[in-house]
Amino acid sequence: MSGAREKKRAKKMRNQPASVTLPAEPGPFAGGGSRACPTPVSTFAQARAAEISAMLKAVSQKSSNSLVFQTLPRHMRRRAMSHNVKRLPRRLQEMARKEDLSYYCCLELKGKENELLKQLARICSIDTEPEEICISEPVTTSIQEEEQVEVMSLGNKRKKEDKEGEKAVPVKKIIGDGTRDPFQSYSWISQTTGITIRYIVFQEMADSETGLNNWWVENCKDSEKVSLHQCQSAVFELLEGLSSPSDMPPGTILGLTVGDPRVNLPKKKTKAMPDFEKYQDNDEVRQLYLKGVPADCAHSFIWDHDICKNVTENKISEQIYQGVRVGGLQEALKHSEYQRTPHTPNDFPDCRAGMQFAKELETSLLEKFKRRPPAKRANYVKLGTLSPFICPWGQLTKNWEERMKASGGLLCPSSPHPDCCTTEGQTLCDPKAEVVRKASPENGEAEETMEITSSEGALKTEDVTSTQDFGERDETKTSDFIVLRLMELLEAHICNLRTIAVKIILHSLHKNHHRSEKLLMQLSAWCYPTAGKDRRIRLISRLGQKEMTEDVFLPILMSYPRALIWVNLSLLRKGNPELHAMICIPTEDDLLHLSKDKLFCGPQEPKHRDIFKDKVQKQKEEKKKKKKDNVKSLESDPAGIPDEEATEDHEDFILGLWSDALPDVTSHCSRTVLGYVTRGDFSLAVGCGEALGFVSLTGLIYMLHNQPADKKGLVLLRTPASLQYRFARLNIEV
Amino acid sequence: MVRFKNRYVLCEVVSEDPRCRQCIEDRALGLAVRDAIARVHGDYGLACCSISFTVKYLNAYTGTVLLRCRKDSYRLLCSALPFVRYLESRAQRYPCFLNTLHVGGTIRTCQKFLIQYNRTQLLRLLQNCTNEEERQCIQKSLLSCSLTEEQSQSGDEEEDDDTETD
Repeated sequence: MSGAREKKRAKKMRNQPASVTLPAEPGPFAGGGSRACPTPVSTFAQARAAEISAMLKAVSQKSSNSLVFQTLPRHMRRRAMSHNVKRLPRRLQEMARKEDLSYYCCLELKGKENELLKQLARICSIDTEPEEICISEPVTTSIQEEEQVEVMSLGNKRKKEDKEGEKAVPVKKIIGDGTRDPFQSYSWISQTTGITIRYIVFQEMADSETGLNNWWVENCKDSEKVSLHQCQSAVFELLEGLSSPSDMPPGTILGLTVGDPRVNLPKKKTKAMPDFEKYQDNDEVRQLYLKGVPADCAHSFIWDHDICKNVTENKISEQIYQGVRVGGLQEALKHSEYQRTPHTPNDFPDCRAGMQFAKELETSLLEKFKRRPPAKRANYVKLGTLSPFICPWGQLTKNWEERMKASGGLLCPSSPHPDCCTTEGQTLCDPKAEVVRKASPENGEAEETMEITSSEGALKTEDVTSTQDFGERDETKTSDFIVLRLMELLEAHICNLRTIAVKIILHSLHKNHHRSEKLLMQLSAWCYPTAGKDRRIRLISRLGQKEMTEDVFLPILMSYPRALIWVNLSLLRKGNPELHAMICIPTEDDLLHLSKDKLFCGPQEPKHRDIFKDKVQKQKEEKKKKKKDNVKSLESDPAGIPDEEATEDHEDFILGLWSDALPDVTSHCSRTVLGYVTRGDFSLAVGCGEALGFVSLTGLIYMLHNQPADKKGLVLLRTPASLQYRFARLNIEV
Repeated sequence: MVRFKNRYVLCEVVSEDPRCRQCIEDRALGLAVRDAIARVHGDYGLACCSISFTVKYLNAYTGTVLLRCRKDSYRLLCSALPFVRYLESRAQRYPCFLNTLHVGGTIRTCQKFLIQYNRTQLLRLLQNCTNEEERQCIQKSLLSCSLTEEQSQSGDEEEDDDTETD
């Protein structure tokens, strides 16, 4: 580096004179005579002369840079002088022209790459990328001088035509003056090396449309399609006569084929104004908004033929692939959270949509869990969380039922009350299903399996046709528990459905409305502490509620042995509840502790033993062994491998998760589990954590029965990944 | 951007003793000038002037010396030059004095001035010379130093890029 720099400096300074000193004379010698010292005059003159010449040489060296634009004083430089040479003073124009040609033309060199590089090596270094090679005009001419072969017959022939009959001698020709007419293409072909130099024409490619628009051409060949297209455009014209978009029946689809406006952009911008008079009393327009668009006009030539079905059925996932975007989901969730209303489909575990949703959620959470390295995962087995990713409602209700049976000596309900069971707590059903259910008690079935309709939540508009094949769609997905809900809540969710079938259901459900409302109000009242605050007692007495005695709640338990109730919890002090958090019953000690110490956070769950650890390790070792065996057996018997792999997956243990079937959910932890949280977060409105979820009715009554009066309604909440229980107040919205 | 501006002082060493020419070296001269500044302007003056002080060019035969210093302190330098009374080198001391010819901002201006000055000097010499021999000598030297066409052209063609003058 410094060597090059020094060379450059030396080159620059070569004209500068060096100091001249007298040569060191040995010893004093008497300047004897003119022999040693010539006459001072001559020396003086010569010296002066020498100096003058040296100086002249130094001065005549041209200083500073030779950039054209910088020789011009700054106030005379113009912005556009680089591409518009005429803005420069004439003396500089020549120089400027020679400087940069990149604006003017690109050369396209066609030919064998090595040949090209060989030729181009004269002009520029090969090391640069081929795309960056920039050749300036004079250089090309010099090539032409040297190798006249490169200059072209084709190009010259054109020139020949321009200059009539002039012999095209390929000698020292400056082709063009640096600017080339962009609309004329030139090309040079070398005869020996086979390199073609062709100008790139910057023109619109006229043949870009081939291949893309073929489908339309095909369409036009078909007369039916043409007539359909004309029909569609006629309908489109008629739309002009509508005074407002709401005149059209909702859900109307009109398929249109339009030309790309980017290509067919009109020269002048005009405004589109509707012309009312033209279509004022037009019969056709009236037809349009009475009957809508004719069905065949909804056909589109490019899109899926089932677009009609998609739109009406609101299959959102498919629509998303076709460009529909769904918004506001998170906001809606938050909104219903603050309102403490259940949000579809998360908070409807008894319907098929809810179950499916829960399953999907479980798989996604499981995937996320598995993706983390084993050391960074929470060990749910040790934490005592049996199901961190899903709420096992069925298991919960079953366990509570068994508990009741085991403890209180209750008779197991032989004859269910199908009317109140079936008609309450159903989100959607259709008339046919109801009929089926009503038939079942006549058969004397003791089970309470409900058949649940398919629902995608409140979003789907069920066609009447789909209800008919309900019978065939009979599911494995039956829930064996019910959720007690109020009618109003139900109505709020199905208000936007318009099918007739749903209206029938609503009617029938209204009949049994009072029963559930009363029950829920009762329960809600029971949740309040009866002592300690006079306000509460007065409230209860005002409502005329009964005290919680066995004869009151036993029949409830009997009628709804496996029921869930929608509750909302608010934490007393600290804590941020999460999805799948466990709602547990506090023991007497906990409550005692709390009464003594107001700042008591809650008990801690002792760590469980990881019983699956050994199994997981064994499995790992086995896998390793099998892998080795597989490698060996590959050479011998490839067919035998898939079987081994299949068996491996079957016994897959995941460290940290409960691998076998779940044991008794309620009694696994130190505190009895009542229910689970389906939505929980810090509530900004209240200033503490809030949770929404379901609890088992049986468990709730059991808890309320056994709690001291002033601490009624207090529960413990534990998130799946922690051992700390936190106190929360339970409340039932009525 | 701040530029460091320099001043180039062109002087001539005048001495009656012809042996003084031996002492015209950059080190000896530099020392003598610094010494003079120190005597006249003290430590402060010496420090100021010494910032960018150097002897850029000298010619022992003609006695031409080109000094460089900062623009801020060239006046100090110029005022101290008459106080240089001798040059010392190799334990030899010879009396002399410095004649300031020109102060310029660039080397090039000083060079241009020097050309002019030398020319005038030669012409004066020619006018004042006494014998024919001398005259011829002078004429010869005059002819030799004037720039011919070839010389100038070759100088032009060898264009350098960027010669920066200090």
